[in-house]
Amino acid sequence: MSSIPQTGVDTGRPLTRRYKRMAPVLRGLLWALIGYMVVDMIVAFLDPGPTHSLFNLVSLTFAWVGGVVGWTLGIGTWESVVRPAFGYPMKWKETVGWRRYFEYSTNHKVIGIQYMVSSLGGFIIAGTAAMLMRLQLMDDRMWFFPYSKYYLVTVGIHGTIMMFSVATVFMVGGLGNYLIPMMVGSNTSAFSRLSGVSVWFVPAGILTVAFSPLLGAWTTGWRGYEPLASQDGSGIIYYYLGVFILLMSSLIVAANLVATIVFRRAPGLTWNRLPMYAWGMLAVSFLNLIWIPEIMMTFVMALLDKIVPLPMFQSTGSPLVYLQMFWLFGHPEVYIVVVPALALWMEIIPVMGRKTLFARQWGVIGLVFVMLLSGMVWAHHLFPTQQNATILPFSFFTEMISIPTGFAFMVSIGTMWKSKMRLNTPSILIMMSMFNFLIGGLTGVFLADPAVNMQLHDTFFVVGHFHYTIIGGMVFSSFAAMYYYLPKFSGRMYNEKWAQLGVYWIFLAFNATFFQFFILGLRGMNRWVPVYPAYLRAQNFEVSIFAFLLGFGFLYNIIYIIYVWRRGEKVDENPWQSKTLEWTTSSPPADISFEEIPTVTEGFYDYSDGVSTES
Amino acid sequence: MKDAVKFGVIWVILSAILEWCVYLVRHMFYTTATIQAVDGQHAADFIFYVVTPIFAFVVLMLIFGFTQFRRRRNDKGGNSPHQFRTNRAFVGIWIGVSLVVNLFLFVHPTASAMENYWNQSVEYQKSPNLLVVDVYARQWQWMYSYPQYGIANAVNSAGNGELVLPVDRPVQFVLRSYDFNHYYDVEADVIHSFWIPAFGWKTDVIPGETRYEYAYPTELGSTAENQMFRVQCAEVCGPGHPYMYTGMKVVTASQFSAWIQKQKKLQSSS
Amino acid sequence: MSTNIEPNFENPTERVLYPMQYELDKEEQMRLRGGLTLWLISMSIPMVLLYELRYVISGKYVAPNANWLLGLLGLVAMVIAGLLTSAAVRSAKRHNQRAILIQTGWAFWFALAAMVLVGWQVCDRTINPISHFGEMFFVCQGTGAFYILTTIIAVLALRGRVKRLAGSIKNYWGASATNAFVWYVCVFWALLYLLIYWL
Ligand code: HEM
Ligand SMILES: [Cu+2]
Ligand SMILES: [Cu+2]
Repeated sequence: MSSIPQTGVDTGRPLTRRYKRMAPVLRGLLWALIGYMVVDMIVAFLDPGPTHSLFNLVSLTFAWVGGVVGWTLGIGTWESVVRPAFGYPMKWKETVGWRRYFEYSTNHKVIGIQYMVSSLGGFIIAGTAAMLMRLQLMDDRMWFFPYSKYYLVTVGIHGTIMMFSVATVFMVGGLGNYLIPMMVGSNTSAFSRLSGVSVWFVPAGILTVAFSPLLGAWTTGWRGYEPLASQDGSGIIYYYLGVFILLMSSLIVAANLVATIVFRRAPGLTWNRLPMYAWGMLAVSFLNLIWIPEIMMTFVMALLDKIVPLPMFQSTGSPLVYLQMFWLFGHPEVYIVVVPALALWMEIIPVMGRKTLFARQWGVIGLVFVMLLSGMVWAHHLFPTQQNATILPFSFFTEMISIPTGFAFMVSIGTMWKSKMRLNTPSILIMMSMFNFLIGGLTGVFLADPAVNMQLHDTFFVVGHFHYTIIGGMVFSSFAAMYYYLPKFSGRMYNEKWAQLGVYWIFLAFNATFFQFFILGLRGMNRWVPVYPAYLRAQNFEVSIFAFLLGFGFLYNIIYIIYVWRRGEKVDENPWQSKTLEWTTSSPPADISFEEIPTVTEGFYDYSDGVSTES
Repeated sequence: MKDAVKFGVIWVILSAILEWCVYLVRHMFYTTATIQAVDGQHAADFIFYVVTPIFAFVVLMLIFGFTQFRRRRNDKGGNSPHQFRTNRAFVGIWIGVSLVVNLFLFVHPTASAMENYWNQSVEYQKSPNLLVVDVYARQWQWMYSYPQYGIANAVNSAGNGELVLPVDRPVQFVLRSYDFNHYYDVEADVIHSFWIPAFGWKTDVIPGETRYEYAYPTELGSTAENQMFRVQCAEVCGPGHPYMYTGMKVVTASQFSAWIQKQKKLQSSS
Repeated sequence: MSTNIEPNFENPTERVLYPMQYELDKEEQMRLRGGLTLWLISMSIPMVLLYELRYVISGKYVAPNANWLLGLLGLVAMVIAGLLTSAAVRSAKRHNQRAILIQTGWAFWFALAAMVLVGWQVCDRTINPISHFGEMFFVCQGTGAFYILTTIIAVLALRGRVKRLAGSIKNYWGASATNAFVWYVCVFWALLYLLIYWL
């Protein structure tokens, strides 16, 4: 070990002493407010709008930039990143204790938890939005929302926050940041300062989207699509900006994870031994690095289209270009969401089944091919939009992508075969996730067929399909990961009875709710409608009841996990006898995970010790 | 080996039972009032039959994981006695089957249905009997005109737009997002989607472009009796989107000519 | 293993995260280079999009009608800024901090000039945004100006560190990274320039 650099920081101070300043979150909010108002005033002065002297779309856009900068600086990057970057003395130390979760930090475990908590916040906000939607849909006329546009903006907020702050973030920014450095045997992530900044973009983005209706309800749904956006409520600009900053966060996570996996592996951790979850993170991060800049640029264009305004996506321009560009990103996005889940199946099943991972290389090949193919299928989101002649190639690739996705099933099933599966909460959740994702995938085969798609597109069948893939795949797997890693994160163990109660609850409620979405769609219920023909009322009413049960089920599990995290029973360091590196540390891991960097001598998924091997 | 045989037998039985269930519920589209809807229904049925054994296979595996391969109560722990890294035959069959099934599904029903649809539209275009309906979609209304009969903006007795089609006669819908009452405003309109649930298809209406869609209605019906007969905008198009639907009817040839006469009278009176 | 950037193991709270104040070993350098390369590749994707955009949207050839001289001057200024930061890297090899300060100082002014020249045409409203040329012009020009702005911040940060940390500087990765980034933006703008003014 080379010498540790000692630098110009005054180390004479007592270690526990903190530099005096306002609570970072408060200061962040205050600075955000100041930044927002000051920039708004300046821009509104320089570029006065026609209707209002204090606000216009341009000034509100720049004001938002000021607000986000203020927030990020206030949370602690001012003294820890910006000033040192310009050579000023650093008046900042990593905080200890609970406070560190509420300010800038460079510890990948703290950052991971910050990501998870922010993401959870998004889940609760967007979940509440879902509940309000289901409330409205209990009747076939407007009754809960005063106008249809408020329902539509709720749909948009639900979809946007769920996709960009939960589905894309929880398993990558959250679990990835926490686990990947430990999985590859490193004490830090590759760019820990950067990722300490990026996590604070998530709350900023969520709040931006959540409060966007204050500027005017937008009705485009989560796609923010042109040409509708250009004549929609002004809140749409905060949709673009909020998603922009959420994506920026994910982009930094991606760069950080790739660099961590490539450059920070412990000695002996060859590619052949790399844990499956790390492979998943690598594939996802490459997808992020390619497609996130693409959609960010698209959002910038759409934003300019709205605020300048430009005529890009109107009928003189090309009204379909935005949709093409959106789905070019949008389809990889859905794989960004499920690839971590697929990787997690392959991570947990061998541990719980006490059996060597089956056909590991095919699992990796599957993840990589999903990543490659996912850029070639986007237009299946546009079958009715395209001219019929251009449909077939996309239909082809769409059907083909089910093959590498299937490899994850093959590996999981092969591992399960003749294993000694411990039927505990994580493994049950993984199997539920496989079941749900199977339904999501097989209904996708219907949708890939253009003749069938012509009927099902834009109906609740599609809504059912993607909730089965996202909730079934990603959300169930995330809960599996939380129960599996609870002992790691907290050193405490849940109680099987209480946990399984929650797990069966969400499984049943989920299927009861979303299986009926298929039927609703087939019966003629289309998307984005708060009012619908009366014959669908009874079924919608009853679906809503199940949806509320599902909502409470999620809440139950979340509260239970938090409870165990704080109060649960203490447990050994490696209760599952897992072999991956993160379990060789203490639980919960100390600030420095590995006192000594481990050396890896064999793969992590071999359980043939003490057993005579069959072919 | 014992497990494999057991699995195989149960799988076959389970698949057979599920296929039978699919046979019972196969009329997924509920109302299929055109040749096109029936074709779509057939494609969906076919896929349903093909994916059911796959579904059965994976679900049975999960059930085996839950029952056959779970750790018994009295098991003291330790690893499974059966350890293997891979199994050439299984992997080979898996990959082979998934390739074959997917390619097969692509040829039929995907490509064949598209070709079929294409041929139908060519055939209808040649037919002297073809009924042309101009459909205008704008925020937030549908308008229908029948250029062959000189009818612009057909309406029902309440004055709302209404689509009336004769049964057993090919129809060509010409879909545009501007209409005879309005200038073509380059900035005004957005994407809509022309969907008749009972017809089994939808097509988007794109500002600045003209799209065509074909149908051959084979069943009588009307919105009043069955709401699957309705014209519904399926693509979100702003706050009025939920309200962007109109009633429609498929009627006999004689009823259709009577209706045409009535519309003509209405046109000349206004 | 790379432990150089790692925190002080005895006192994790005493993490010291000054850039440029510790020695880099080979592995660290690999990591930094690799990370920067990844980032730059990722940041090039908007360029692909902008190149496609103009013809995809209009579906036909659109003749450029902007003042090519201003854009060219911007490009020249950017290239000069790049030459200056390259010179700063050479000075860094000789540990000549005074020279670095002077060179990056000039690099700052040239980059600023480039940003003004590029950004100017967005604000002066000579080009009608409601046209096929105008719509892409605004987007490309704005993106270009934004990328140049980031180089300016990078150059200023480098300068600030060299000025204030002076004696305690142990590595000049910051200088090489800034230089790489400035050249990257040069190429970025050169490509955009071609697109906007000539293609
Ligand atoms: C609590 C459970 C949930 C319920 C009851 C629910 C309900 C719904 C409903 C009814 C819609 C369709 C609205 C419409 O098109 O008219 C919808 C849309 C959507 N949901 Fe969920 N949802 C839930 C959870 C989630 C989760 C966890 C995600 C993703 C992580 C998600 C992602 C989406 C997306 C992306 C849309 C599309 C929004 C759009 O059309 O723009 N949902 N949800
Ligand atoms: Cu519409
Ligand atoms: Cu609509």
